[in-house]
Amino acid sequence: MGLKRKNFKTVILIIFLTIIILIFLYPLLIVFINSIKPLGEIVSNPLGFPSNLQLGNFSKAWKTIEIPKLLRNTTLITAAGILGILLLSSMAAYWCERYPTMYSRLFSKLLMASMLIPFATIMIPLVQVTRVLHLNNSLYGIVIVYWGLGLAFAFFLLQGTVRGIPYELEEAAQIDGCGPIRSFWLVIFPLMKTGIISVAVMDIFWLWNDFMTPLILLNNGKYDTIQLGINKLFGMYSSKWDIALPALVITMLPILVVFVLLQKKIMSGVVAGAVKG
Amino acid sequence: MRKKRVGIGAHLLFLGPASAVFIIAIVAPFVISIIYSFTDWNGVSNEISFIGFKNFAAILNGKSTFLESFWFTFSITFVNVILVVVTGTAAAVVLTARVPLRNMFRLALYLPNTIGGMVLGFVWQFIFVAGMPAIGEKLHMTFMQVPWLGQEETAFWALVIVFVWQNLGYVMVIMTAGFTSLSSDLLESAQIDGANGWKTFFHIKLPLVMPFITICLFWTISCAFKMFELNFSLTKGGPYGSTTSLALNIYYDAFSNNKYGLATAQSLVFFLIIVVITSVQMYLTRRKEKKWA
Repeated sequence: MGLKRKNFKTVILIIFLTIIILIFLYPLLIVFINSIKPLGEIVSNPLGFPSNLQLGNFSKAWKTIEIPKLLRNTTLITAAGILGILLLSSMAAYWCERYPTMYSRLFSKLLMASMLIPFATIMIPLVQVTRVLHLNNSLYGIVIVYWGLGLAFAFFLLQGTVRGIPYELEEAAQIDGCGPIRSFWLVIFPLMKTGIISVAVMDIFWLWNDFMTPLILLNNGKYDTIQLGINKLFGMYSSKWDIALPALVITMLPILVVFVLLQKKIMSGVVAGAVKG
Repeated sequence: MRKKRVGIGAHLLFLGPASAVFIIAIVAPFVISIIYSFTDWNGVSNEISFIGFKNFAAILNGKSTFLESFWFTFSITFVNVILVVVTGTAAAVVLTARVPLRNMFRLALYLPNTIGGMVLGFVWQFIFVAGMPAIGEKLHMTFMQVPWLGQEETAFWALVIVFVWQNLGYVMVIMTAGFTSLSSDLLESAQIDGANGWKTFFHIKLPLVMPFITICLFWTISCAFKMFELNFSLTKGGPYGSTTSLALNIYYDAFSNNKYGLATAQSLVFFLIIVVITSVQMYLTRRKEKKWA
């Protein structure tokens, strides 16, 4: 009897939670459903299911905002951004931890302080700095800027990782004749795996979704990212929902797939980042 | 620490590139920002003159739009923080109970946080323009059938809805980590002493997860204070500038209104506000750590 009542309660709870979650995700569901409807139906009956599938919406959206270009740019920027951030921050974190000098102490203090600066505070002169250095309106330019912007967070998370690596391992490598470069690359870097994965997972979402940096640094349509492309689309075709909605769906899919694949790493990365930062 | 001899080349190799990108992306722009905040430059012309503290005076005496955007940002942050922390914590509590499928529920609640603010904003634009009125019609609720993004009052709440929807998952993840870190011995002994569910929650669990709540609180505050994408995509700061956040106001003044000097001054005041918020956070965290040590 007791068991039955408990089962009953669990079922009720699951039904209740499922309803809540469906309401919670309803805005996304509605966009997915309407993305395959003809425009007239979207406007007259946005809540209903499609009477016939209008998959042509997707090819229209694909061409109108040049989705391959947007995906290519965003992927390139995200990948190159993460690789650079990881390389630079792991090297710097290792060096500051194991070979401290006056400069390295100043460097890490400045990095720490810089985490307080909101992007809005530096974005205006950043346009000028990148223009002087010919880093504006180019993919490698924005990538270099991201290396600088992402350095501090990655540095402090990885510094914690380096601290946890026993000193003896490195010493053994040095006795075997490894200089600092080889002992970093062969011994330390592979051992920083957990920290590196945390940083990578957090930065994928930051770089992929960032809007402000591309907005001020990339004015040439050639280098539009997904976020810029979507913004332009809504500027031009704000009521052409049969193009706008499939475009939203296509641009959401890659990051949703990444999220589902990396869910465990993401959740633990979020906690690690929040508790340490 | 053992003394080691390494050449200057190794120092340059390991810290040089990192220092270079740090200077390009953050240090140089920050210093230039300070210099320009004392000028009247419009961003284009060759004429720049130093005008002392006039930009800062314009910010404080209400001759610029700074105070309005500050007031908007402050009030929406206040509402957002309360709602996000309460709903996120509630979700964490419900989903730390042994519910089947709870991982799927958690994933679903965190999902909006992984989609960029811009894309999310436009998803919700469709909901506010087409979805809400249709739902209102179906359920006979007239309050849903308003031009959500076109009136000052409702535009504010529209932004609140989207912000809470986007960020409660983050708070839920942190608070879940907090609740699962509690020792089961302690909770068991409370039960043996006769504390019921509500009592254990408010008198034992909640005080113990306070450090996690502080983290969530300040994460949400700084997140809400830096709001930009949602305003940009949903309301463009309107109607009548009523939903212009601080970051958006700085962007408009610098890049559309040609008030470059004034905008850099605003951005520095914005920075100081963030510094104050973070100092309060550090003070509170340290004081608590002392109390417990």
